[in-house]
Amino acid sequence: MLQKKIVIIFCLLFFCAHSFALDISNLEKFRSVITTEFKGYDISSTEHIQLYGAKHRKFITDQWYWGEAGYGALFGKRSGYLEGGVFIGHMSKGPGDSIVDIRLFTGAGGGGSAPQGGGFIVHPTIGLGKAISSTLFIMTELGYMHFVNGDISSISLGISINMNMWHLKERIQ
Amino acid sequence: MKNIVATLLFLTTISMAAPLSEQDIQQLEKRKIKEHIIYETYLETDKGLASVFGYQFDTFFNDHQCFILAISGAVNGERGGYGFAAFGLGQEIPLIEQVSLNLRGFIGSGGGGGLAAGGGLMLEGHIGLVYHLSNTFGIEINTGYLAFPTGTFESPMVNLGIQFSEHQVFLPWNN
Repeated sequence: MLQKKIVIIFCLLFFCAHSFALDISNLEKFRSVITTEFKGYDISSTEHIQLYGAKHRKFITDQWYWGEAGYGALFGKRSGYLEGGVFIGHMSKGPGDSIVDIRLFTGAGGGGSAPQGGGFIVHPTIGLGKAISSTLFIMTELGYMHFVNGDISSISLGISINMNMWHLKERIQ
Repeated sequence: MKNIVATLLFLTTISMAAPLSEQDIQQLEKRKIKEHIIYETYLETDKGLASVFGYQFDTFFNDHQCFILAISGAVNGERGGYGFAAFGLGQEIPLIEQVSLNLRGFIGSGGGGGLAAGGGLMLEGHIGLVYHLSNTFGIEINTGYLAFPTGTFESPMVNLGIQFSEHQVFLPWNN
């Protein structure tokens, strides 16, 4: 048992310390957006839940993106309730310098003894936002949280702060 | 459902990245990052939760202040399934050549494993010492306090960890 632990710790140390140098001439950039979001919805007809989480949008064109997101419960009585999954979306300029964002999130959720059934989530949203600097923008979102094989189906509301950034990666030769 | 999953899997294979221009290359900057592997023990438990194993990632604004992402999960005790994810701010204060004071505050979401964590809101603060064995590797020991304000669980804690530092290249957003 002790030997196993030593091997695990050694492997962790090795992988953490190991890195590959980058060749700058092979670097490429693409837009990505890091988001911190607070959202809420009804978990039943008498119970609300509020969650916070983060997501990472990775743009594959100027407007279309995909990414990952994860959320955890903050308020209510469902500590341990989590959501995680992937999404596809479209972000474009709207009227009056606003930002319009349409997204479909799908993933898994549950915990905290919630009525999540099998846990499969489908969560379409539409958001409206405004830039507060060249880097940061805020969004408000309206959506419909639906657990396909569970008992949670509710309108959702969210607010988020988002940060534009360039994501660098090395071109594979 | 299969179509959705297939579409998302397909998207992950698409790359529309643009090569860096000469101007981009001139604008490249580096910033310090730090990764921590932490073993944390709660000192006052209800005989349930005892210890968690975690990972923290620091992105530095300057030489000594950072933004932290943290995740931990139960590994010892009777609370399997308990975990938390949090973000926070950190401050390092050099004391002597190889030793720094380490201050860190977290806010996040946690629970599971039947712990009395209420709605899940979690607050945690650390103070500790880091011994830098080299420019890139250090050992840390911290003490602090963990609380779930919407639940009843709270406890002082100690943790022991290792940390790896390096510099990461990034391109500032300029659109």
